[in-house]
Amino acid sequence: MPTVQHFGDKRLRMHALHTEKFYTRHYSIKLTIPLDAKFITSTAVLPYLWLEGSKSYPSARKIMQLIDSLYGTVLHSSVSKRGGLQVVEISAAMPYIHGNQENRAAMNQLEKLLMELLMAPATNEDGSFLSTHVSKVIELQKNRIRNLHDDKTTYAFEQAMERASRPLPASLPRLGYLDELENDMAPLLYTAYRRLLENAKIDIYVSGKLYQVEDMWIDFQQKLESQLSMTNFLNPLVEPIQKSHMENRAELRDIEYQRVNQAKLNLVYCSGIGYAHPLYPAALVMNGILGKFPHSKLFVEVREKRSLAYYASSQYDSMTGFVVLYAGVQPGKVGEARLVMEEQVEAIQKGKISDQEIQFTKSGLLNQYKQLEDQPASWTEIDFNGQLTGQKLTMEDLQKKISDVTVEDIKKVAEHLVFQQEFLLTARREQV
Amino acid sequence: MKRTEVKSLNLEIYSHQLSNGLRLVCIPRPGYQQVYALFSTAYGSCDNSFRTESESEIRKVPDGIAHFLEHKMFEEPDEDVFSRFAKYGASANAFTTYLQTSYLFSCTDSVQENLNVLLDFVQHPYFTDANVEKEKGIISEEIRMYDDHPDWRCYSELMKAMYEKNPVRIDIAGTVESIQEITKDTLYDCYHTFYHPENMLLVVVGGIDPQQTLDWVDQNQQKKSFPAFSPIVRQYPKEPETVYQQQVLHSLDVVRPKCLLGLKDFPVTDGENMLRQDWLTGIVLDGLFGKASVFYETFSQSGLIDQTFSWEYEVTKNYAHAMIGGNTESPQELQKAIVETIERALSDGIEAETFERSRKKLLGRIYTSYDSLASLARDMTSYGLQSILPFHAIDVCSSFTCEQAEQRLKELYSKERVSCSIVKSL
Repeated sequence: MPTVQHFGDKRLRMHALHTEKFYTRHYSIKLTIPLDAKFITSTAVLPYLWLEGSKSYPSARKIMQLIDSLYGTVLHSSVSKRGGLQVVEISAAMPYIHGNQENRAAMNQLEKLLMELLMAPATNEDGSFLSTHVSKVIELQKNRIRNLHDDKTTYAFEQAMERASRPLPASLPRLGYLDELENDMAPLLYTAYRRLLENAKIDIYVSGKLYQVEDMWIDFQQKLESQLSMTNFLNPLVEPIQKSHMENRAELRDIEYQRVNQAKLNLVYCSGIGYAHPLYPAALVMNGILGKFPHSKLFVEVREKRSLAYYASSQYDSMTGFVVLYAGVQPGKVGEARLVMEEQVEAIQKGKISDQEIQFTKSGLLNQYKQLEDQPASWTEIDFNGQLTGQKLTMEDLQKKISDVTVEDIKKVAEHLVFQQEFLLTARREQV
Repeated sequence: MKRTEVKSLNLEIYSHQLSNGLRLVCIPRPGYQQVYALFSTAYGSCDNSFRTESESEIRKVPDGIAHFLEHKMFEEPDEDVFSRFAKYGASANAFTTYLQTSYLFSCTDSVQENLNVLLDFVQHPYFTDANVEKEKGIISEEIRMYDDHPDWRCYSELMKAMYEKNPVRIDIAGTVESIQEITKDTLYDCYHTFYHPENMLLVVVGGIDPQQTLDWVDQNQQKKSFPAFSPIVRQYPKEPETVYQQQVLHSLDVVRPKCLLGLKDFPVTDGENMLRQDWLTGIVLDGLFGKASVFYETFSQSGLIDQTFSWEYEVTKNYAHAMIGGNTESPQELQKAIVETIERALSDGIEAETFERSRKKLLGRIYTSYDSLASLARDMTSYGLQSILPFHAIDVCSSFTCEQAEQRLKELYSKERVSCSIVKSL
């Protein structure tokens, strides 16, 4: 693995991975702040508002024209959740055209643009956001929220995760609340913008063919430090959701009816084990055996042996510590599928794990981590998880720890699993 | 091995045809840990009426059988194929398109072992009555999953509206009903027709040594014998130039309606021209409907379109079309706006500045897409199965003129070749 250079240590940090092998240079600026119900909706609009215009490029079209002329650089902004944290991100991927004299200048132009989008959005003379930009992004954000409903698999999965985390901040909806989006929210957006800039931790990731990384760091640092205080900021770390959270809530099974051909069954278990936990590598292996791979228990038992589903998997979220089992099944066979899925968890808890399952899962995971070196976006995500949890694992460490996981470790992880929430999206009986 | 240098991409492509007819293409990417292999047959969902040159009768097989076959290839009498890959730390998958079926793995170790697993399982069919029946339940769920997916439904209904006879109008997976007709005998029949090495292509990209890869593949193939290849005669019904239906409307349990406009284009049989058409059309559509276009600015501001709005273009030897659209509250209005934008460009021409920007953009996007070994291998395969080397596209792209772009738009658009698919809320 090429060496990753880290700069900065408190509020502002840059992480650089230099490699000659890519045609693309990737940038990602991530601003992290604790989720707060009061600001969830307004903060979630900001990354999209940034792409509506800046001081020098006052409209979305002007920005896109520049970006396209930089050899089709891809500019993207998004908002996501990591446990109880909200992450607002702006990223870019720029082609490195072999032998092109313009490469260096184009990259400088892009770096300048990224800083400007973040620090100098298009505003009126009094500093407020332009009303045309605000009304447009509000409408687009409403559509973004409405669109969530129409991808049934993702919708059901996110509903399960949100309901399982209630009433903690992690349960707040990623894109905010539809009924809080108002055309006159420009002042609130500005407050949320200042709050984000003044309080967020800022991580800048760059990878690809990098020229003079130190100069790049100094440049970013000067631009940000000249406008932001580097001493007052929130420094949250992600903590997994603990089982004690469940003491005040009953076991919940929620059902939503839609006119669908296929039911989406999601079962959320709480492990209490997060990225920084000593059992984290074992949790990865446990989830691999349970449902991550085609040799996993869920794939074999639900799909291959019983033909109940096309997909039957599990996903482990190292930020919340949740393990989610999910499958798309015929509405009339949900009961059978649920039973088989629950049995697989029980099997691992009882230690019914073969040497072959462990060996295959470890090989599969190690293969994935080795491939990260070829995938800058995935590398960024793994490193960022470490930044968020305060547990900085190198890829080599993690691979070694995965190799050392024992059947006892896996059983221990499974014993931590407590059923937390079911969310079922299905059709009414008369519609089947 | 034949070595072709693509200077613009700083890439070397190695190709070789083995004595049994199998074509191998290797593209080393220095510094990559990953190796990605794609083993494909020129057999897709469209190949449902065919014979071999040694036969006189055309055979008609059930819709969805190429995809069904892809699922069943993973079944072996002793050990499950996924387990064999898992043993060597590879992740494996497969997919079927209208024109090809591909099996793949990616790994970072044990490349020879994984290549052997890939070649051996694809070259060893094992179908029984029981395992065929079992798969019907799994594939039925796959079909139901897609039936609930509004983007997929909008696309697939548009294909049915644009094409009257071409088998691309049939869903790749078939229907829950059509797959019930599939038996182990029909599967073997299709397998033996289309899975001959002569009809297949193996593409291996990433951290590889091409000569060593060829040696491994050759060693594997030397151990197997295949009957003489009888060339395949595919029967495609003659497709009218005009669309079958101008508008189709379907209702699903969705919050946001969808509208997709299809422009039926002319297929191209010659490889070089196919690439030219593919690229030039992309430049035209990006200029008219990309995020830097007047259209995008006007209608995202008015609220007619949202961030789901996009376009795509596909051209093959058998079919060609553009698709433009996304989510909208007013499908009819969006349809009108798209058509008016095209007609305005036809009368006013395409701005030189817009053309130049879109050309630069497409050039850059090729570079970035080839950082993904999966994209590199898939591109090489889909063009390679049609005997085209895609990488010359960069040089081809540089030679385009704005006038050629305008001419392309004239060829692409005709009122009789436009269909619209709308998915609305129940």
